Amino acid sequence: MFRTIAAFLISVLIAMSCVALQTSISNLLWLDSINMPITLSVIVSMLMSDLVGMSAAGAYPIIVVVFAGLLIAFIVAYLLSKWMNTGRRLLYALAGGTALFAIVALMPLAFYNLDLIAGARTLLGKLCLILGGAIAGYYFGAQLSGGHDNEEV
Amino acid sequence: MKKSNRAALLASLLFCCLFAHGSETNYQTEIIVEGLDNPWSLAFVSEREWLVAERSGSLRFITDGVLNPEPVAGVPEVLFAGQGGLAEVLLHPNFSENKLIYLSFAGADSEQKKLNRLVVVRGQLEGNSLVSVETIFGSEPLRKTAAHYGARIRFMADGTLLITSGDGFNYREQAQTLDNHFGKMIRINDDGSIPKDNPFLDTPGALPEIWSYGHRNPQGLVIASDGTIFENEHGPMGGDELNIVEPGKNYGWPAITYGVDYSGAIISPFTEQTGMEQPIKYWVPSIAPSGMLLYQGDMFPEWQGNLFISALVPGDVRRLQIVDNKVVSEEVLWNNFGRIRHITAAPDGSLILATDGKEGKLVRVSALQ
Repeated sequence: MFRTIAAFLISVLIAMSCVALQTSISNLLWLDSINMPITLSVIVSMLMSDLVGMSAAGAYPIIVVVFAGLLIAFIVAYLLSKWMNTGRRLLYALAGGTALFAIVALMPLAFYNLDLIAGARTLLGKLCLILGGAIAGYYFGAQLSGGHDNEEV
Repeated sequence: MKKSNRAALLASLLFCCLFAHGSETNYQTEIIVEGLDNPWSLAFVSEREWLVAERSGSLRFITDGVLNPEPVAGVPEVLFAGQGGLAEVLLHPNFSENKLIYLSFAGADSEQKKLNRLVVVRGQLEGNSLVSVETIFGSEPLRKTAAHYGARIRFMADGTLLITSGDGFNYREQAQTLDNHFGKMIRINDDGSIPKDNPFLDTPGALPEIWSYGHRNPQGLVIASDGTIFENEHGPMGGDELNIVEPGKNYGWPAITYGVDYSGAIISPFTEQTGMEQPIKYWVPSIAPSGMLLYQGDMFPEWQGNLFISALVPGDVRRLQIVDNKVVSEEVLWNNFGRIRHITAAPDGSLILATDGKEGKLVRVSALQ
């Protein structure tokens, strides 16, 4: 159980890192496109600030939303795994991707069509975030598999 | 600590609080109108007759302090959603002769109902009706979001109209390009045509009605008698700004900002850049500046020339003293009414505050008798 909890928390961190990374990169690319002075130190500092800021300093807690989204998705994936023979890595990767899809698709509905995660304003951005969720899910599924296929969520 | 010492300390603290209690101006506040649905702006037709614009879409008369339950007929349908709705009501400088009033609002597109824009119309006021309504400005391109409209309008001394147009939240980067209306100040003639001396008339690809750019969500706008244009705008999380706006200039959003995104992400690590203007004041954390007034009334002579900015968060008014276009002092006033959406001066020189929300009120601040 401890290993499952640790794997889940790490998967949340992976997803959050992907969200922060995607947000930083999309902002940096735009700033560079208008000839703002982007240096290596600016890049490193922005990546670190976004990881910490988006996890702990926002007006709304994205990490809590990601935590809740992945938790629900992984529980559903666990229940589905009882009836399906799909590999756990793939199943949880799908679950993680679905969780991030739900987050980027549903959050605007609650806030006047606003994309509160700036990186999610474009289709490519949304796809990147969904991929981040899938990577987090894949990691979680891999940790559950690892020769212990019957371990529960 | 001994009891006597504690009492002395409390007494001196109390004395300090009383001594430090804000302005030396003596005033009284009274709630004069209640039951307004999201009041956004006010216009004074005469000392007795006021018009109030409610964001839910109604324009209503207040006559001798009594709110007319029957809204003005003929006001176009507005998109009342999110931050959108009916915003400004403004009288034409020659209103007494032409009876023209101007309205700004969020309006759904007639063909693509899920999309909307900032719209400015004008019409003639006849009794309790608005007639001959014509659209003189519609922002382009359409937006899907219901936020950050700006929507403040003011007449300049030459009779042209300035319109603040917000960045639509999702479209912030477009505030830096001149082929759209996101994050811009717009200048048009009173009939919607383009003035011949606008700054980007000869710039290839630029919309000719643009006056300045790089704004976020400007909701306060005043023009001083010497032509100085003061504008305030909401920043993101922190970084609300007070700017002096000049034609053709870039105010930086979102390439430079003193705020961060609501998600906690950095929008830009830069606060200044060559070719981008600095605010004369910014607020971190945010105060959510809404309306703004340059006081020129007679009731409070000591406040003449001061800027008053109504603020939504936590809900107060900021009185700023400006010397040589620099802010030299700031005083927090009237923080006991909740979120304040708008501030203006009545013809008699008293200040009128409009509180935000479904149970909006008008509060009059007048000299103590």
